[in-house]
Amino acid sequence: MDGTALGRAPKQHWALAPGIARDTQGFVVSAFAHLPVAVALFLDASGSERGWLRALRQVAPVTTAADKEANRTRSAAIAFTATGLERLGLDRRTVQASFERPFWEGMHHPDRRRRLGDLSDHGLLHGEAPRWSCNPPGADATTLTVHALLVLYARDDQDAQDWARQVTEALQDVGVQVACRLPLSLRFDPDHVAREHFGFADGISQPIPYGPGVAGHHAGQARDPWHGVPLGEFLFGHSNAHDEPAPGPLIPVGERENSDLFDLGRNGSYLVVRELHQYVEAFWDSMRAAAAELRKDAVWLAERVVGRERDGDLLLPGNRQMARTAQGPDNAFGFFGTDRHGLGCPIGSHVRRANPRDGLAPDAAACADALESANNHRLLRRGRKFGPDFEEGERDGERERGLLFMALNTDITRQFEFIQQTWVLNKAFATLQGETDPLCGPAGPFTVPDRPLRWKVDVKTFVRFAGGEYFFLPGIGALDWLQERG
Amino acid sequence: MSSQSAELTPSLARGAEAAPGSIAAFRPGTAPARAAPTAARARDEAARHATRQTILSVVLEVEPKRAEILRRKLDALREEESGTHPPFNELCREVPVLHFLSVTIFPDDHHDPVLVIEANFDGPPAPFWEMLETHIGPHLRDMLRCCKPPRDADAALFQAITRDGATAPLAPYLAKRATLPAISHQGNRGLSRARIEQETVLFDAVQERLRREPRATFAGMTAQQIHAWLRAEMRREFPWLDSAGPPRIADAEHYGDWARLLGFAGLVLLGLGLPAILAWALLPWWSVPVLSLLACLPSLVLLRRELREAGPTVQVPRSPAILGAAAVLLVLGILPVLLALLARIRRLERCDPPQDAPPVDEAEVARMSAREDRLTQNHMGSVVLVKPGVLRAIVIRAGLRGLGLLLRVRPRARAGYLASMRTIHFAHWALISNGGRLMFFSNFDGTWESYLDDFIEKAHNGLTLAWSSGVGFPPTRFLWFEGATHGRRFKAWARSSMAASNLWFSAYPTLTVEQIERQHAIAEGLRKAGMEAEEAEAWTARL
Repeated sequence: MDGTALGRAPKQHWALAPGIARDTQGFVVSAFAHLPVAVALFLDASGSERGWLRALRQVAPVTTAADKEANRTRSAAIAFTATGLERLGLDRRTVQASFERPFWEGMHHPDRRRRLGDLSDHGLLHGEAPRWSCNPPGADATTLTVHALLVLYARDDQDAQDWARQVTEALQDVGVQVACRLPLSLRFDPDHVAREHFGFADGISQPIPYGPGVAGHHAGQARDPWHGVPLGEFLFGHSNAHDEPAPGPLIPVGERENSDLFDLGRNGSYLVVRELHQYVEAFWDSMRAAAAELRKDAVWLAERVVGRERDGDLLLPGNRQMARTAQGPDNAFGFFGTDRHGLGCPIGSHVRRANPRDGLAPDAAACADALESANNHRLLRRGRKFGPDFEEGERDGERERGLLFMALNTDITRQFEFIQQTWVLNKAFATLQGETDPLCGPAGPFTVPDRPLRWKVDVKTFVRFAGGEYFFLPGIGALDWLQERG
Repeated sequence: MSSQSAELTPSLARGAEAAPGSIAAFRPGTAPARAAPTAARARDEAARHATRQTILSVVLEVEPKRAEILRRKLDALREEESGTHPPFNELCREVPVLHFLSVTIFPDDHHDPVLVIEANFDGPPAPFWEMLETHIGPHLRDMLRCCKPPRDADAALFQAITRDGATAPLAPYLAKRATLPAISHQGNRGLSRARIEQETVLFDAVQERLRREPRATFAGMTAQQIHAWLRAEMRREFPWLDSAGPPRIADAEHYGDWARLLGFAGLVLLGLGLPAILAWALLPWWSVPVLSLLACLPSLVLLRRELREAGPTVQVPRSPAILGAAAVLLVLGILPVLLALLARIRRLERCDPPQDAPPVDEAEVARMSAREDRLTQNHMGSVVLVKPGVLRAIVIRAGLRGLGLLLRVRPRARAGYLASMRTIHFAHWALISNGGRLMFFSNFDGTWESYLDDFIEKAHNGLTLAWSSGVGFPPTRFLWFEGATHGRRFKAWARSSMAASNLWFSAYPTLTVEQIERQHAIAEGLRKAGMEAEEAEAWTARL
């Protein structure tokens, strides 16, 4: 989930041009892998007093992309929901007129819940109903209301806890409550691999922005052949995949003849946040049961469900895997050329659904188009896992664990929602019929292509949704402006 | 929301049911309630297996005062049809030639509302209209009574079918008012509904048979052996596997498609060559090429900026073949006409006002949002105004016709592809209101967003040509470039032109175009007595 290859060396693939970096939150360019511990504070500002954002920034200064990482032992990022912006003095009409529809309708609008698969009849909910959202009008209500998300990154547990306590107290003084908190962690292996709870190396594949706003190698049109995506896909105001400046919120300000539009979106982005709970016992039980039918072992099947082997190397036909590069698993590949029919990495596996690369091309001539098209639907992932590691013999439900999915995009519909609907949960993805993502979709069949005949197994549900919302992650200038008003 | 989505939610249930349920829904009634004469029944049977599909729409002007009544009647009809288990069961059974049907009322700021019945079915129109009338005749008559009487020769016919107590058949009137598409596209061309259903049942049986077989059976088997084994297993249950199916595109249709395309190309050349023909007739022979060359100059001057600016979008032709063709056209005197047209079009394009922020009707958006994404497939209906001017009038007609004829003959398009996308079951454009408005319908797989993204990312050129004559369309370049690639603006424009369909029927709501082709490939494979090793491997991969 972090931006580095296996969290190995916390080295950036890209950086912003200096002028833009100063106005952008550090969260955009870095996963803060050098700060392995973090706390996510979900804030309810219902009873907030004026000046609460100023008070917050005093105890938790928001890190900019220009700050040198090596010098920092703490970093912070902040984002606001649609109703959170109302708590900062923007009226609802202005929010609806200037932000994208999914942002102000919310993730829990009944039609959107259906599209995103967040329904109890799919068995994809953790508990009876999702716990938190920003509770905008027209959406299904949740018990907790979240107006802002503050993520605090620190070097160790002690520091993270101290800081979170300090921030919580300061916020109480200005009437802001912590609705819920999630301790996040990377927890590197001794060999410096960050794994998610099922045991797989995570965060290997990330888009690499390019364009005039990017510093160094990718500044011009020199884009990475597989993962190069225009900066505007993740930052408002910069050229996006449709060759136009990614449209962010413009806010009318001033009175009558002095009125103008303030570019609130400048160097900001939308942040998609989803609290996903992982049922590790259920996962391995299901893998064992299904693998037994195939006379294979559970790990073999789990690797096919994910599409990579546990250390992150791509599965190739003939029970082989892709050779490593010096930096870690090789991620510079298309599916069409390496494994068109999914004999190694199954067509319906999680990595292939989440980013099909050129794999949806009907023939070799269409590969370049297919890759370009797939790259119009990428996310900059910033998620981290929460909860303790699973221990042998433990039962699901004893301790909660999972992934706090956080991803940046400037067009929620075309990026996050498209991926979820058209790829991950699509029952007719590629040439498959009647099956969804075997890792995070509802229980159902999963096809593993093979010669002479495919395998078909049934897998259960192991990832469940507990709450989520669309946030606005402002640039530094926008944050200052909001602070003046709220 | 419940009433609007009523026809869709249960359909989903129908789709979600186990295979046997959908088989029941698929089997057309063998003994329809009506006592059809033998000849008519034979004709219906022929239509059911026809490999050629008809796409048409009937556009009726609604009496504005009755628009609300009409809306309620449509709601009632939808409730009635979708109230069955599975939903639309009767329509499905009684009209076995029908693939997709939609009925939509399009409100319009500049016109009275229109009622559009969009139908995609097997065989010729007459049997279809009769089947539809037999099933929902009284409803159709009620709908027609909410429409304005025509002011042309059909007035008497309209009077006869809509007056109180009228029982005269509706089919002749509907057939007369039908508009044929200017351009259409089909994902599974040549597959009748009967055949799709037959192959669905076979597919389910194959999957079930494979599921029951212990995996050990296949250990060590080759693809050829699997094919032979499965064929033996299936032949008992499906005796039709022993005979070859009809070709999807009959010879007559194939040659007809080519003849129409060539005829069209001839007419276009004739039109462009008209000035040259006059010149050849009136002037000495040697003067024509000279005049032709001179006549090209003003257009080239006008277009020089374009050629400089075009950059990567327009490849200035350098291949000998293209240069040679240009030389021939120059000598013949056609090139100056072409260049003049391009220069004029480019000028129009530079001045056409695009609509960057089309109005958003919140209520309509909510209706569409509530209705969409309940099935694997979705429906889109749109009406836009056409840009004014003689040149635009010619361009839209010639463009749509030419592109449409090309799609009929290109092997990839015949196989269901537009560029590299294959998600459209049935789509068409038609000019209505004497060419004043352009109507678009599509029945497609996946979400509306993904459908439009496919167009934006993969098939934007053809789409831009077809829609660039719509008022407010994003800026284009030479009718072919840009346009739809302004993705966000294009989506906003398209969404604003849509109306939520009041009634929408799909005969096979769980099947995608890809899946229908997959089932077809499996069926065709099982019909073969034997296969080469390589072919068998490709075939077993689709199981």
